[in-house]
Formats: sequence, C-alpha cells, structure tokens
Amino acid sequence: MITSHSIKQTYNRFSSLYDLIFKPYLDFGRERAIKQLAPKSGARVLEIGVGTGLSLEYYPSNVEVLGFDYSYGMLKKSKIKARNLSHCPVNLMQMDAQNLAFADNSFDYLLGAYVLTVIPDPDKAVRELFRVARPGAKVVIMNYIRSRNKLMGLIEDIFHPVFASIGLFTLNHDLPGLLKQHGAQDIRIEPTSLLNLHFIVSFTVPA
Amino acid sequence: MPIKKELLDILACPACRGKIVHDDEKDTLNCCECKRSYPIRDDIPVMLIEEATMPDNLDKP
Repeated sequence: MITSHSIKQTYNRFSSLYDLIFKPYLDFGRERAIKQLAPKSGARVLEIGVGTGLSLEYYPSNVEVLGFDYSYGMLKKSKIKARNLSHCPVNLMQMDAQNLAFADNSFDYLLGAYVLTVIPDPDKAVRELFRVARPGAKVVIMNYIRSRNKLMGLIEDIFHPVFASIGLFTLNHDLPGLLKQHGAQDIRIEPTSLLNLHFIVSFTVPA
Repeated sequence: MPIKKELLDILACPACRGKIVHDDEKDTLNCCECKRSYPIRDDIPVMLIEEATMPDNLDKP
C-alpha cells in the first residue's frame, strides 16, 4: 500500500541515489515536455513534484519556476541544481500535491514529471491541480501509462505490488481517463521512452 | 528569508485556504484564518498540514 508516509520515507532515503538511477531514464523527454509547455516570457511555471530538480536546467531564462515536492531530501538536491544548473529564477517549497498551499486560479503553466504515480490519491491531486490552474492554463504531465500491449500489461500487473510495497510508485492508473473526468481539454498524448511506457500528456484547463 | 510578495499573494493555507502572511520575527508563514504556523527550513517553506503548529492558546488541530 502506497501512503504519504512511505513515499516521504522512501524518497528521503533515496534522494542521493535517485539521479544516478533515474536520470538516464527519466531525463528523457523533460526538455521536450518543457518545449511543449512553451511558457511565455515572464510566466510563472508550477512544477508539481520537482524532485531532485532534473527539469530545472531545461526551462528558458525568461520564466520563473515554483517547484514543490513532498520530500525534503529531494528538495535539497533541487536547491543545488537551482543554483548551479538553472537558467531562470527558481523558488522551492515543501508541499503535498493532495493539499496544495495555493489560492485558486494561481498558475497559467503547470508541469508534473513522473509524479502522479507516486501520489496515494491521484484523483484528489488532479482536482487540486485544476483548482490552482487558471482557466485556459496549459498543463504538461510526464507519466507512465499502463501498456495497451497485453504482455507488457501483464508484466506490469505482476511488478506493480513490488514497487508499491517499497513505496516507490504505483502503476495502475488510467491517467487520460482521470483527466477527462475532470474536464481536461485538447488532451495530447505522445510516447517518450524507448519501450513506450512513458508519455507526455498535455492538455488545457477548461476556460 | 524574505518571501517575495508575489509568492505570498498566491499562497493559501493547505488546511483551510486562508490567507498566508510572513511572521518576520519568527520567520514562519502563518494562516490568518486557522492560525496554523508553517515553518521555513533552509529557505524552503514547509507548507505541510502535518508540520504546522498551532499557537499555544489554541488546541492542536
């Protein structure tokens, strides 16, 4: 069972190894995701689950990023990257995606990289995302989507309890369905990783 | 750390959505409505309900 506590513990313990293990794999597509987000000059981008800050180096210099994560250990890594690699101003906060500390209609651009799969209640997180987004806001989410290939789907179903039990992530979500339920418009989905397991999902918040 | 005004303007209490103000003396972020106080650690505001404290004269949430 994936809980907020298990996630915090795992990621705090894991923060120094995270980049080593996941950078080559999950770095992939971040630059493209930010290009798709295409924040206009002077915009503030909310990065949901900024983690160790792997995306920070790809933002253009004319925007400002507000990144939050649930794990303090991960944020400490982000802080170093914000200082050394980022081209734009970065503000960091510790927050729970299920209870965002922002007023309604606060952001025009939102990005979340590999985060929805590690949230115990993704439905609540998506509701919060829509709440803090301004009408017409652009959202780009990089995420795992359960394979439509039968064999891969089966393998995923076998491994899912293993990953979930160590609090790393959970796989069994129908993300596009969830976004549609909340009224996401112009949903575009394109694969990023070699095995077609990870996707860039972009959509617009209804006006 | 001085929190920029534009950021304070969009912050809201994660518990009650109340307005957040910076306590310059204690360097905390406080909710004007429910009075929860959120710490700032190493310049990082900790906006988690479970990390918030209530003033002494009020019951813990």
